[in-house]
Amino acid sequence: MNLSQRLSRLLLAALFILPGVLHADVVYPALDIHNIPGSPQFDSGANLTGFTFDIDATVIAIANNTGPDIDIPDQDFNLASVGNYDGSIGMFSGSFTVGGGLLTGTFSDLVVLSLGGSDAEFYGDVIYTGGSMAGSFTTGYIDGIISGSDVIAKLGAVVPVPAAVWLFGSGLIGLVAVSRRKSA
Amino acid sequence: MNKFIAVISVIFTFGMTSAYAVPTLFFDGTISFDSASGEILVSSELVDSIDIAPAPNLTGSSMNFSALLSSVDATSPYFTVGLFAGVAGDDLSIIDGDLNTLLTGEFLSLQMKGGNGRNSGLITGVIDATGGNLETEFGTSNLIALQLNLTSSFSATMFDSDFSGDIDGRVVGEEIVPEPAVISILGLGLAFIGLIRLPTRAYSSTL
Repeated sequence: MNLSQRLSRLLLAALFILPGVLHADVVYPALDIHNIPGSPQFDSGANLTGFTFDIDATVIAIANNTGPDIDIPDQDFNLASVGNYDGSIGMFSGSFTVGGGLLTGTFSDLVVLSLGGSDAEFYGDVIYTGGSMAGSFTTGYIDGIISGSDVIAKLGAVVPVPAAVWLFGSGLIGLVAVSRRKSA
Repeated sequence: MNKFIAVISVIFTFGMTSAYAVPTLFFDGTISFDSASGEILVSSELVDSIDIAPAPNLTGSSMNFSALLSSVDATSPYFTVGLFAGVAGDDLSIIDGDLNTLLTGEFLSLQMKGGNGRNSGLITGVIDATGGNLETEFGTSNLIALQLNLTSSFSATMFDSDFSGDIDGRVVGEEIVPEPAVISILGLGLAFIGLIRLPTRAYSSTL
């Protein structure tokens, strides 16, 4: 295998790996989700059992890491899922809603990881299925923590990065193809 | 009439007892760790509040705290815990957009934990309020925060290097003995008076 072939394989591998790595970060803007016991919403927070994982919380703002948060009227956030959690790690699939049709979505690989005691974190890719906030984007990411029934989470509302990655990747493929032609 | 008062009072009493108030300040900002000094610094601004009157001006507000790493617990193969202690003087300062000091405090405990290999995690702490306009409401309060997009992943050696990231959390004050509780006591009293007067009137009407 010559250098050009090695390079092309490396780039192709990077092309498929990169989106997964980038999904490990919450992409902004993101919805800022908290449970607020005693609020008018009467949120109950997180409920994690061996087979179900549910969240009853409130979206309090649109978080932005390059400027001030955008305050929005509080919206209900509800997530319901089923899966398997053995006390240390679990995987769940289900759906969520924001407000009365602002955003709806599904997920099939939400990981719940115990941090000891009643603490845990959860994260995974989501697919937006509708709602006025979904826009033209169809994928996203959720990352959050649980302490007892308390929950704080960020739900990436839009994910522009993967599109840029694919564009970047297709450019790389083009470069590899050009270099192959030249070497041939 | 007395029966009416009794019924209304009981309905009123049980209708109001579920309401309670927990003053809470929400913050969002950045977190950084300096491995040379072992100091963790959080620089953030307030993004919301509940059960605080008057509501603080959030624009231009700040919520900052710092603490020193005291030990690392890496006994679990799945997650790492960093235990922190307060610095000299106040560890936490919350100032609203009108430059009023809302809260100063010292950490009674503070810990950071996250799954090994993950770049997000949890911060929890207990704060002893030492001053500010909300000192009474936040006497002994709890801090809970999500840290995410850290530049380092959690591991037994993560505190050997500098790292930074985003933080999103809240400080939860002490539950306020609410107005509805007073109304509940009044309602129960009225109900009691109404009920004990019922047999008396029934008895006197037979005479």
